[in-house]
Amino acid sequence: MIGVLSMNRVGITLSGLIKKYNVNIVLEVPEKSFDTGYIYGLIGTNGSGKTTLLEIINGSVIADEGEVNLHDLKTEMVYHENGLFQDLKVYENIFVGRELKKSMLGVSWLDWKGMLRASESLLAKHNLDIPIKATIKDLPLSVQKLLEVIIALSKEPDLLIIDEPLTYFDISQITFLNRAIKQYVDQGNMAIYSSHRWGEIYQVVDRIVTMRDGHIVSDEVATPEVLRGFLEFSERDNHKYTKRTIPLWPGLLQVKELRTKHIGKIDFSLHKGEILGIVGLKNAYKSEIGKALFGAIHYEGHIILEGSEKRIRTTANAVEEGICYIGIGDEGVFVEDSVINNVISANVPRIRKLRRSAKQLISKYYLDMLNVSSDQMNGSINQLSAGYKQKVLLAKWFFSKSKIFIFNKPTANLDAASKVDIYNVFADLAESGAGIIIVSNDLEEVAGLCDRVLIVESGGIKKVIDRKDLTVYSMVEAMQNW
Amino acid sequence: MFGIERLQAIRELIKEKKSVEVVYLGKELDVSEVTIRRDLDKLEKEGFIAKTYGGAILIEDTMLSGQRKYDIMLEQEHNISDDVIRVAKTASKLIDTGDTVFISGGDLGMALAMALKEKDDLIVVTNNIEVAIYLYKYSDFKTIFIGGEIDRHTGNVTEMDQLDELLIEKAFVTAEGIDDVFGYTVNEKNDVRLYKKLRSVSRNLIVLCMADAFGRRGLVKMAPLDTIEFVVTEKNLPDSFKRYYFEHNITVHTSILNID
Repeated sequence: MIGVLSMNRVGITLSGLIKKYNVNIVLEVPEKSFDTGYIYGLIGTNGSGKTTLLEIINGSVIADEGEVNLHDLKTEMVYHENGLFQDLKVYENIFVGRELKKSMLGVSWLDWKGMLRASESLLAKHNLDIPIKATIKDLPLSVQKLLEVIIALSKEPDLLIIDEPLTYFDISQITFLNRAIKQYVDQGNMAIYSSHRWGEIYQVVDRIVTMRDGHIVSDEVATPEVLRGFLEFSERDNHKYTKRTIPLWPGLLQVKELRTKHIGKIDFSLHKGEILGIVGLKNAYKSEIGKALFGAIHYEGHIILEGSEKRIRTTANAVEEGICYIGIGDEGVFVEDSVINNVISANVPRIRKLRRSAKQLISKYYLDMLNVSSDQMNGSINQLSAGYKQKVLLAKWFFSKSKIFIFNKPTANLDAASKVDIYNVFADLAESGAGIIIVSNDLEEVAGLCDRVLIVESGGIKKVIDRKDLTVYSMVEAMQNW
Repeated sequence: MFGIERLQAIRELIKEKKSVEVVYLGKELDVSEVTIRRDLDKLEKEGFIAKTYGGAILIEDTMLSGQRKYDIMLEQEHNISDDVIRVAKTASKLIDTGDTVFISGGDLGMALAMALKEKDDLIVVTNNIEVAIYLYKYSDFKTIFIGGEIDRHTGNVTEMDQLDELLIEKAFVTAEGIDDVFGYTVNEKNDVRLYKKLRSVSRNLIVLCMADAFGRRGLVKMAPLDTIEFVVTEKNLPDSFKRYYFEHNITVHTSILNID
């Protein structure tokens, strides 16, 4: 480690910093320095002064008193708010303000070909699979955020500041980000991460700086013990996920020796009223479990529904048995069709024998229940946002009387307001006696919602975690074998 | 939730026609008479209808049990709408066996007291005389009524010192208005005093409100928006507030599906 230590030198010195808004002192830092070669994790609750401190270091906010000495370091900051131009394309965003130019005989023009080439090689260097000609607003928020970080890195700063980057990320994207930052800092640079989500990023942090009420209260080496303490503390405080106390009744679903091409003999059960999470790293084949239950892929083994064994050969079988599957994006959506037709598209006898007017009436009842307006109902499903498409799919499965709801990444790409709706639907469904399976990469969400979690690795169940032991930390630990 | 849309359809039909026949319902809804009879059983349990030979009639104040009559009387007197009852039912699901809870007055408080029927072994603390009487008459919960002068309009009492002797697990408070500048607001100064007291003796504070309170403003500030960790309301609260709450680590409970 001597080699690493020799790379550390003082990078930022703060002295006598005071920042006020009106009469309130929001930040007061008498003396503090940050060294290069480290990744700092800045933690603290909302309003503890994290963002103000970072903005002052970055120079985008000026302190009322005191001094910031950057020792000639060049800084780049990725803000919590989206910083990309939504109507421009990916490669245009990469070169905003530093467009490549060509000139000849005193006339200069923009070198679009050069910029396209450079953009391609930048994304290739980071192994990031984004179409460079895509318009930013068409990309998921999480991908936009990754792109912002990559753009910031491409400006070759000595210090990279990232404020609350993780709100939109799933575990594979966080792993990606962590790797990129680690590589960057290993070249002798410095990074400051600010976040209130610790579960997933603490693997790369070297030091933890804690803020409270505008003061820096501690700066510690990030040993596993220190991190564990922080993690458990921060998770205890996490209650934005709608979770109600619902009695569980065994006997809804039992799966015995389930096997598919990639899954090897797994057993598990699902109770009435239960929310069961399935998580795992990439290539764990966690989605296949849900697809097998839905009859979408061939399986062997036993699926026992309310005491009697069922053979589910096709998705139509599954739907008749009350099992439904809600996938990512447009999976299961008839994109060309109207909203109402999508709701009545589940092909079960119950729906087939209804008159058309009755179908319309009942669809409207469910859509209205899910806060879908009548304008939206009468339009085509294509015009709806991701959150509303999901609601239409839900309405379809309510209509077909499902008892088991399998969700694959239910809130990926949803905005916060739609998330609140979906979480409440989960709670209501569980209360009604349905069983819910969530396959997800969002560990914070799983920790907040689930009664039990299956940790899956290469097609097998590695560990089962019950609600009382369920934290982001315990899941990451189980997945990575620490 | 299963069959719920049929139940809803039957409710609507009976409300409209006052009485219906099983055969008619079966034809209209395209299900067997056995199914219809089962649905009518459920509605009878709810106290919504009375079954007759071959059909059912809407219950209009006849043949009701003492408690149900009292509930209906209170619901009318306090103008308790179905929406209020639904919010109160959702709130009641946050209460666990053995909890000590605080319930204030108003239509939401009253409806919550009524929704507690299915709970076991609670200690209920209240500052409202009508809530206290209701619980005293129709529940076997230990009920603690904090004393003082009774306000003529609200039925709330003015003395709060007795709260100092208690440790409350879940305190349900209500707000007249909720907006992003002034936070939670109320119309009575006394409610602010009560809130401050509850803040110091309760482990969890839960705000109950109807969707129309969002964007409205009461006369007195009660609490900033980010200081109450749980909100129970209707499903149509504005998206901007859903977003705010989620981003500030606050749970929003709304009943989206009509589960009974």
